[in-house]
Amino acid sequence: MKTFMRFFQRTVLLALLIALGTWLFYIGREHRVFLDNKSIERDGKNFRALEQVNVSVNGGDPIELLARDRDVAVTVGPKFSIKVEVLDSMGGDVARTVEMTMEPGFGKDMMISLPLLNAARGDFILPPPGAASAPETKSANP
Amino acid sequence: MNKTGKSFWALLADNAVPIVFIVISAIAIPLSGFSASYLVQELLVRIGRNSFLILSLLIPIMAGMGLNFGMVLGAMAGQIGLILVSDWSIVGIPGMVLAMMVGTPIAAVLGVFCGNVLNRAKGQEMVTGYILGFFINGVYQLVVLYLMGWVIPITNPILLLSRGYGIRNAVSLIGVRGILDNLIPVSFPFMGGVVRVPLATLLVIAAFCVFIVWFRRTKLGQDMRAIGQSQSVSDSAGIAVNRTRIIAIVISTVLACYGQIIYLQNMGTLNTYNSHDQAGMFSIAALLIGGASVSRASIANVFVGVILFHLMFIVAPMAGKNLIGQAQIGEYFRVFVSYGIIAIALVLHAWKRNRDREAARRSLRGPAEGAKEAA
Amino acid sequence: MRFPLFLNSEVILLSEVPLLKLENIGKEYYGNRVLSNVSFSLMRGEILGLVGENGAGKSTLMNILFGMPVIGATGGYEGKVIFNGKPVHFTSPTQALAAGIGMVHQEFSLIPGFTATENIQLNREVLNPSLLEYIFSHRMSTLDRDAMRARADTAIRTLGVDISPDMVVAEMPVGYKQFIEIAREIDREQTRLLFLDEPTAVLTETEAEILLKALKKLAESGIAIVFISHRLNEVKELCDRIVVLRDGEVIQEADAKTATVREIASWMVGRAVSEKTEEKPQKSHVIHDETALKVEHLWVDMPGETVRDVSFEVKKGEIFGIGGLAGHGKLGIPNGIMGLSPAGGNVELFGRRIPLNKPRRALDRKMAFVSEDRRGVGLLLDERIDWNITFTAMQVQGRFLRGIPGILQLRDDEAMRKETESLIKLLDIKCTGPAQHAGELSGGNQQKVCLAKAFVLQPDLLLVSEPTRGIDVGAKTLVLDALREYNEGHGTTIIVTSSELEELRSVCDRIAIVGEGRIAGVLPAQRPAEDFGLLMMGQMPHDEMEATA
Repeated sequence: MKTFMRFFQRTVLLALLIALGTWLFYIGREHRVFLDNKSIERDGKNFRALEQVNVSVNGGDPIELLARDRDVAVTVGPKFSIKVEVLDSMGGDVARTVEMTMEPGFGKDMMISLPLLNAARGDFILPPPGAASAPETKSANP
Repeated sequence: MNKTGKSFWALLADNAVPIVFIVISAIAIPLSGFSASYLVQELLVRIGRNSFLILSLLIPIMAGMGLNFGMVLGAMAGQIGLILVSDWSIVGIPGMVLAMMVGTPIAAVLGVFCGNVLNRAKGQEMVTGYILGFFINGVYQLVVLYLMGWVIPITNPILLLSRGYGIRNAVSLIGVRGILDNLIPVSFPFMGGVVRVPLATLLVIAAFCVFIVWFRRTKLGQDMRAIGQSQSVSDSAGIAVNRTRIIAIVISTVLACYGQIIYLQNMGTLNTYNSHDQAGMFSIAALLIGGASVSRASIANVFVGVILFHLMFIVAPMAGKNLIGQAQIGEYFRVFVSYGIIAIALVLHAWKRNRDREAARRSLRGPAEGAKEAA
Repeated sequence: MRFPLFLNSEVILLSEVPLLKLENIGKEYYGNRVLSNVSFSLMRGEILGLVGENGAGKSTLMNILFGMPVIGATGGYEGKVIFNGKPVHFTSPTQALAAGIGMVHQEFSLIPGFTATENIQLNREVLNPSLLEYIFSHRMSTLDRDAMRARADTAIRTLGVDISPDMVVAEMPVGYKQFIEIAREIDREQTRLLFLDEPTAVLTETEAEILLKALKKLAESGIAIVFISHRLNEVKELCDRIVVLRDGEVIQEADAKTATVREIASWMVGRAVSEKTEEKPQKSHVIHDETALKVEHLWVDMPGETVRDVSFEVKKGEIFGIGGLAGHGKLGIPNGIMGLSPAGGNVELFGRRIPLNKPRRALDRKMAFVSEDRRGVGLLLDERIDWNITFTAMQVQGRFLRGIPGILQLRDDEAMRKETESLIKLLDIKCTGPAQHAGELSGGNQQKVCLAKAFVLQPDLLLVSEPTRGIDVGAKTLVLDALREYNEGHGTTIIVTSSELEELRSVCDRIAIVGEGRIAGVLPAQRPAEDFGLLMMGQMPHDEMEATA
């Protein structure tokens, strides 16, 4: 009986450790969120790059993207908030604001197509670009 | 040997090594021209960085297995943990803790292996551990240079060599850099400068010290102390000598794994193929400088050792440069002193053991020539 | 075999079962019989004295009873052991301990750096209950030092001695260590029987007295004790009964109070009266007045055969014997004189001082030594017989060489062969010729080669240790005769060290008995065997004898 208890307790302990590890993985994951402001085609329609858009991730300093720009924000954790302010023209007023929370969870990198987002399409999440080096910018980490 | 009290000279001889280092440092500090606040800052950083590794050496010494040159196995396990965590892009404290968690089973397996080998080499544990370190280094390189990126999936291209598999020479640990040190930011002004204290790291080290004190009071710790003094008596009392020795090595290896991770989070960069090389050597040298011996080491030895050893490290290059125009004298000291102090400690240990054996036999002898003893 | 009806003046019913009963215990080691037909029994609370020379079988008997693995590994034992009414067969000391048998060996089994408490409780420490116990093992619990200390204190108090439980063993006087060993055994709750192997060997007189008192107290509380000792007065004082072992058999069982010391000694060493005791009366050798060897306050550090303070004189032409129990130092004396073990003191050969710790110098002074360790020290097993015999003479005396001394010399094989052949004939060494390798010879013949080697040196003083150990009976006589003839023919003074008293008595003129590292006494060889036996037991024979130096 005693050995069974010990075995049981050790299994429970092991399970707890694995759970802990998984949780750490989940909350410690660093994600690179690529912000893509390029024209893109979907369903035969062409969504044009926006003139200027300011993106603020997790309440950090806004990143300015002009047409055909691509930038990256680095976040840590399963969720992040993103605030997209689309300007009607370069240096103009805010035409549209989109705020949302995204949850990459266990995933790693992602790319957000801003024109698609602006058009309120649901498939604005693109796979991240290939292996190459992405430009390091001011991180939006808290 | 006088039972009632040691003479001044005996005390001096017993602590010769730390005293020599204090003298060297006392001479070198003014020569280096460093400010007091700089020295204190540097020392605090280095204490935080290195103490954990050195503390991991205490338990095998307690169990009579000498200086655990096999701690480099734990360092390698920790490094594998960090590589994987870097690949997974886990950052911050979770990254460090996860690296420790991943490294633990690897370190434990290596520790069991090391312990078994050392059990077959009783009386020659230290040199066996040293050579075992080289062997496992080969296995480590096989894993890191060939298997990673191929059999072991590594997705982050920054880590990989250009050929597609194998880890690069230098891995940036930017994700975990300073994460423990700066967790609780504390700083205070000191003699003209500001000193930043890696408080969280020091707290972790303090916790480890508490662990060691507690461990000594457990039955397992008592068994290890018994084995360390006499394996035959312990065996005839029914203590599982071999098993306990393995446990001592496993604990030491796992703690060395954690210690290396703490060390690397402070350094910020992982030299994949070199960082662990001198981990054992420098830690052992520091411990010995603190006054420990092959058969006895205390927590005080650890801290005295890390302060004296690294004090010399810090000031010697500058002192050398100011004195004779050669800053390399620092590097020379580093290597020369490390190996030298280990050699001295080993010789002293063998000499003392012979002397003790001699003294034990002498107690059985009869009176000196000419003297008559009352029957 | 009689069961005692009275125990400590209480009447015990005959129906009481003996605690330990041995029935026909026998043991043989690869054809060499060490124990035969040993039977006796022991009651609760009784103290039994087990007496006998070394080699009589006491250690083997203890090994059997304590379940030492060496017994099983060499073919087990015969007979039955009945403990507490049930037959038992221990195959490991742990089993014996669990059953309630404790053993206190001669060599201390203590951890020097631990306190008395820690040693008494070693591996049986009192633990604080803790959570970790459940997940890992009981070894993760901390020690309850207060409870440990209390228990150790109780054990020490049971013995009636005053030792602080916190005293570190390394700092204790030797006598105290003995008490801690015993305390450890009685701290085990289940201990019913305690074996003590020469417990007073290392104690001073006062400590020995305290120990005996403590043991009596222990016996009163119901623990049976088997007390092995050669100190007959202690045996008589402490024990209820005595069992005398000799050559592996129980010679006698006696009541300790009524048997006299002389009787016990004679049981221990005496051989059957019909054996030759006065067989070689005429010794045609001459003993001069001149002192050949004078030894003063010799000490020798030979592990297991420590010599503390030995002084004696040997006359030229004499055959001098050194005897005594094993481990008391007799083998240490020749090893020390010849420089094979660290030694000190004053040794003079024909009036000139011999430097100690330098074997070469001893050889230069024409002393030769036939060691008891013939395979380790006496022979080069991989070399030929003629090499072995002539090698020392070649090295030390420059013989068996041709050529120009100091410049170039070669071996004189012819001379070596001739000398070897003459010695083979003299000693009747059974071999295929001078070229045979020494390792291929039988033990007896190897011993003869060692003797031959010593003869070749033509020494003035010959020391021979255990000359007939491991040799069959026929060869024994031959070796002893060879020694005698060499002494008669060359007038060489011979010192023979042996554990066989009869052998010494048959060949020597005088015999010194070594006890506990000192000379207990020197007697002429014709004295009856039990006189020597008494000396070994630390008793003086009543008749006058030579004063020790």
